[in-house]
Amino acid sequence: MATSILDLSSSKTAEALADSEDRVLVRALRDGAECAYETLLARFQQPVYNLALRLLNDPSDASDAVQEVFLKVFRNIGQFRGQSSLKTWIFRITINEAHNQRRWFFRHRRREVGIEEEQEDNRARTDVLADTAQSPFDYVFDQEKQEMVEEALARINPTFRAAVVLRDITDLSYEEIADVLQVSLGTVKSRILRGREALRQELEKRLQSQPAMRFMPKTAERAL
Amino acid sequence: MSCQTVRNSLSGFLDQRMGREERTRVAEHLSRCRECATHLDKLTQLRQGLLQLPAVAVPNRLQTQLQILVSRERARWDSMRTLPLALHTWADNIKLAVDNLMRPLALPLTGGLLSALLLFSVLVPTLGFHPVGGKDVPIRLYTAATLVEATPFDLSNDEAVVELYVDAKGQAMDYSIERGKVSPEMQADLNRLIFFSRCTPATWFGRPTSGTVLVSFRRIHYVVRG
Repeated sequence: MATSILDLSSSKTAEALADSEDRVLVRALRDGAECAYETLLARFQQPVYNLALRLLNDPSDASDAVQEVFLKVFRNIGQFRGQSSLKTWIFRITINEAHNQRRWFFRHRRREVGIEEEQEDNRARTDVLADTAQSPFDYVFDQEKQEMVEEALARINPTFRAAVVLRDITDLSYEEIADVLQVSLGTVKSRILRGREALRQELEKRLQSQPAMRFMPKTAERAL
Repeated sequence: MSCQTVRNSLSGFLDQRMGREERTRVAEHLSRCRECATHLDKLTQLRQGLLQLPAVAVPNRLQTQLQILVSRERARWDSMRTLPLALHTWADNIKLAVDNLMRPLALPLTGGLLSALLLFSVLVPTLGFHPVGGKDVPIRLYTAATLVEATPFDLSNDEAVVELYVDAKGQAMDYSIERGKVSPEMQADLNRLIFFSRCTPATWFGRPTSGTVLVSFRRIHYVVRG
């Protein structure tokens, strides 16, 4: 009990610290301080890019969306009232921007066909921050698993995907997700539940159609 | 609790988003139901898989683009700080917009104007009207046949209007009387007229062709006194 109270108070202190940091940053941005722009980029460009990439599943679309997000943040920082945290405000803009990008894609680029062959994975190896300390087998196995999860994630309904990504990848709380998506807590719960179910079904479907890599150990007698 | 109810609440159970009583009931069900426990395992593994997805590094190109965006926004902010600066920036922007609008038009417009001037100055002398004079062959569209010399003989009628049909050599070939009576004497007069008259043929683009000439004859009475 004592430990949980300690955890609660430490988390509240962290929240208060983050809030005060946000306020300082927002004030500096409104004053046009150069370092504030740099700080904002350093803090948010990585999570915003990752969120946009998970939602759009295309690096170039994600890059476009990220630029639009930061442009909107810089231009509209004066309208940020501090009712939500800076993080949720920026994530909300990212979600809206990803939605706009997807809509634009369906209107304009859906029928485009590339001249070059589509690459399996157009991300450079150095782009993925993988843990190099693991063994080659673990690395390949993890890689395959990650690809499978990412592909399944890309196939589920975008509305549920946004909730699952915000909860299970970006690690936001239900309240923060409700704030980002501008929906009620009940809707967030429902979307996360349905998103996870859809993802589980997608993965099971994929595993049934394409059995996972498995090692078949041979006994010494059979080998002989 | 039914299996369906438990499965619908497993997501909340996993995220610890349910009350203590409900959590206890779900836990009890899970301890008894192997299928629901397996379902929870799958969801836990799924969540672990999602949490372990590696963070993707921001591409260098995007980082550069964001830096450019920052510098541009900073410059924009600086330019909007005071009213004179803002007015100056707007004026610059308008000038730039006009320049950008005019630049693609400037070359075609100048080229077109110069070409028009050149063409006009070349064509104007040839477009002028040159009256055909002297012995030059008229090259106008059509010139009518003309009577050069009428018959020297007298006509029996006081007045007659005759249309002569002239061939390409200038020779009157036939006639028709437009006004006046046709008597046997008049017939003989007209035959002489055709034979002795000389005409210039009509021309079509400078080439002689057949045509008609309208000739009016009138007797003039001179009264000499004294």
